[in-house]
Parts: sequence; structure tokens; C-alpha cells
Amino acid sequence: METLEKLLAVYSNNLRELRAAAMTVVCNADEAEDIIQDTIIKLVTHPEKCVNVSNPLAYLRTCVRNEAVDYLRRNGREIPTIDETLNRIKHTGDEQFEYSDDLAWVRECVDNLPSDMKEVLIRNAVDGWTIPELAKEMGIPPKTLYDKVSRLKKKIRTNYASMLTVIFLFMLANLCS
Amino acid sequence: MRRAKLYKVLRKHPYLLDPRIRMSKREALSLIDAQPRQDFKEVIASAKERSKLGDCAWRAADNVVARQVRRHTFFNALRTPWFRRIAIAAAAICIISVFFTLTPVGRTWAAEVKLYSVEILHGTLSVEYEDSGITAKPSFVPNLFDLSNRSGAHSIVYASLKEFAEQKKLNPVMVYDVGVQLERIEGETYSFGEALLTVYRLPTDAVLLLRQSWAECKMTAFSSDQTEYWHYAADEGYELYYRTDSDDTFSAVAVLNDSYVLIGSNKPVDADWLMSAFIIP
Repeated sequence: METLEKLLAVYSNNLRELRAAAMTVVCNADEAEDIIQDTIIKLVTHPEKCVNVSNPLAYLRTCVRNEAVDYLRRNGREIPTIDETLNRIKHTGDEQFEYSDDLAWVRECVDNLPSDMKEVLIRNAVDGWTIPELAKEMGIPPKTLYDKVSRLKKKIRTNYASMLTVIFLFMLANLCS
Repeated sequence: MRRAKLYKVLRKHPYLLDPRIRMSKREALSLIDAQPRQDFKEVIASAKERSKLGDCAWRAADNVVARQVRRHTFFNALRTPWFRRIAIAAAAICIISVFFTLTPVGRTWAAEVKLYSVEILHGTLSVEYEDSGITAKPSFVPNLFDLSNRSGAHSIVYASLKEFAEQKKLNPVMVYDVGVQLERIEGETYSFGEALLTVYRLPTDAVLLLRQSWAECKMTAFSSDQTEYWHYAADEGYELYYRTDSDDTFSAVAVLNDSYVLIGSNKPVDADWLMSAFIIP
């Protein structure tokens, strides 16, 4: 019970950010409000799941995001493709949009990742989990996860260097011609 | 690509990893902030209505809400670190203000601090506070001839030194000898006390200026690090520090019991003669 109380205290202190986590999925402020409440109801209904949480805020971010995804599924909402999302952002003009070479390259790079590694990247980059916390949460040895992430980083570095070389050669060829 | 750059791109475009995340956190926050939202207490109240769970299940949430309400009262706000710091700083300012304005010791200190900070006579003489009293320290040769630049002074021309002494109840010094003419007597009122400017013409056609200042604190002596540049002489009731510069201008400071006198001349002045002609009432 005490752990749930601590978790709810973190929840209350980060309400705005957790609302935003819901909003990133449902894109609607009122629906985000419902998700915020649904997440609390789930936490209160199953307090036993709140024990041994190493990173409360990251845990809550993940909970809210998962709840938002469930909400979409329950309401039969279609998940847009990446291209549709990119088009929406491009046309709403809410954010300065630049479809740069880096973005295209990252997209190509993460497209080929296995789904578990994508989840690791989301939780690490977006939710704020550290690798040891993630390993504990996923129930795998930390070293295994470290090795996986190291391989991923190495692959990204190598591919990026190759891409830069190709761009450089392309520009050189243009200059020569 | 460095990890930081990759993560920056992923945070800005999270849908690359998961198409279900359709916007960045930054975009979501801007939309959230566009309208006022429920606070935690209201969120819990709404969640209670929707869930139909018993009160027992909500005990933890109620405790958090109660703690938040308590935190928003004035005395509990004192417990928060930022409020505590502000309160301590405000209390310290109040105590210091009361000390320096209401208590006799504080008022004396305030006067001394004020005197310390004021550059008396436009920087020609700085004054420092020490255990033994106030120390006059000439920072450079006083330019007493620059009469045009005396901001902050309220000056009155007097016909005689006696008139000044009677009006101000102060004892001005004077230079008295055969052929010495007193050309001008001007009293000045500064925030730190009274001053008197007297201009003499000597038989050698030199112009001798004296500026006697009555500060609120007692004057004692020069600080030791300045004495090597100045000659020292003492007579009954005062000490004299003097020097003649390369351009033949003469400057001196006489430290009296109740005041100090800055002395300047556009020509060399014999110190022995000056001491013999210097009359302290």
C-alpha cells in the first residue's frame, strides 16, 4: 500500500507530463484525461503490481502509454502508418518539420530492428528507463541487454558512417561533373 | 551518428519506433497547456466516480490528496525548501534593517559603513574603518583646484571664518602669516558631514587651498602602506602628512582630533613654514 502511495505521489507531481504521454498516443486532450483516470484506476485496483518499481516516473510513463494504446484498441481506432503521421505533422504546421537526411536514415535504421529492441529504445529514449532498470523490468540479465544495445549502437555508427561516405562521394561526383 | 543525436531524433519523432505514438512530447505538452486541466484532486474524484471501487481501495490516493492540501497551507509551505529559503532571506533582511536603523550600535555602524563607501572629496581621500577608529588614506594627490566638480554638496560662501564657526559650531583651522591673504571661504554640507574650503594667496603668489572635513567618525592616522610616499610631521593637536610632486604641486593632509584637512597648492610650500602658520583653534 505504501508503495502505491509513493507511486501516486509521483503521479500527482508529474500529472502534466503523464497527460502528455497519453496525448502522444490519442492526440486528444479529453481522451488523454480519461486515460489518466483509467491508469489511476488500474494502479489502485492492482496495487500488488506497484511493488519493486525501480524508476517510478518511467514506470508511470510506460503505464500511461500502454493504457492509451489499449484505449485506441478498445475504441476500434486505426493506428496510422508512419507516412500518415509524417504527413499530418507536415501539414498541421504545429511543429517546425524538417524531413532531413538524418530522419530518413534513422527511419530506415529502426525499421529493420526487431520489435523487442524497438521497445527497449522507446523505453530508454522516450520513457526514461536506464538499461539496468529495463533489464530488471523485462526479467533478463543486465549484461544481455547491455550487449544487445552495444551491438545496436555499433551497427548504427557503422551504417551512419557508410551513409555519410555515400553522401560525400555523391557530392564529390556532382562537383567533378 | 552519436547516441545523443539518435535519441534526440527518436524523442522528436517517436512514431519511427512505434507508429502508435503519433506526436512528440513537446507537441503534446503545447496542446495540453492550451487549456486549463484538472488537478490531481479532481482527477482522483473523477476516477472514483468512474471506477465504483470501494473507499478502502482509494485510501492511498486520498492520503496523497490530503498531503497535497496540507502542503498548500501557509505553515506547511514553510516546510518546502524554496519557501524556507525565501522566508529565511526575508527574515535576515528584516533583522539587519532593524539593527541598522533602530539600535544605537547599528546606527553607528551604519554611519561608519556609509563613510567607508563614500569616496570623500571625489576619491582624493578614501577612508577605512579599523578597530582603532577611522584611517584616512590618500589614494592619489588631491586635486583641490577642481572646484567645479563637487556634486552632492550644498555650498555657502561665508564672509569670515568666525561666521562659519558661529553658524556651524565647528572650529575651522586657518593659515596666518604676514602677506597671506584669505581669498575665499566656502562651507559645504555633505551627507557625511560638514566641510570648509578656504583659499589663501601666499606672498610667493602660490594659491593654497584647505578643505577641512568634519566626518561623523573620529580620524586617526594614515594606513602604514601609504606612509612611505608621504613625509610625516607632528605638532600639538595634529599630524601632518605632506609631499611635493614632480610638477611642483604640494599636497598635504592634516589629521586633527575632530576633523581632517586636505591641503593643496599649485607651487611648492615649505612644510616648516606651513606648520608654523597653521593655527588650530
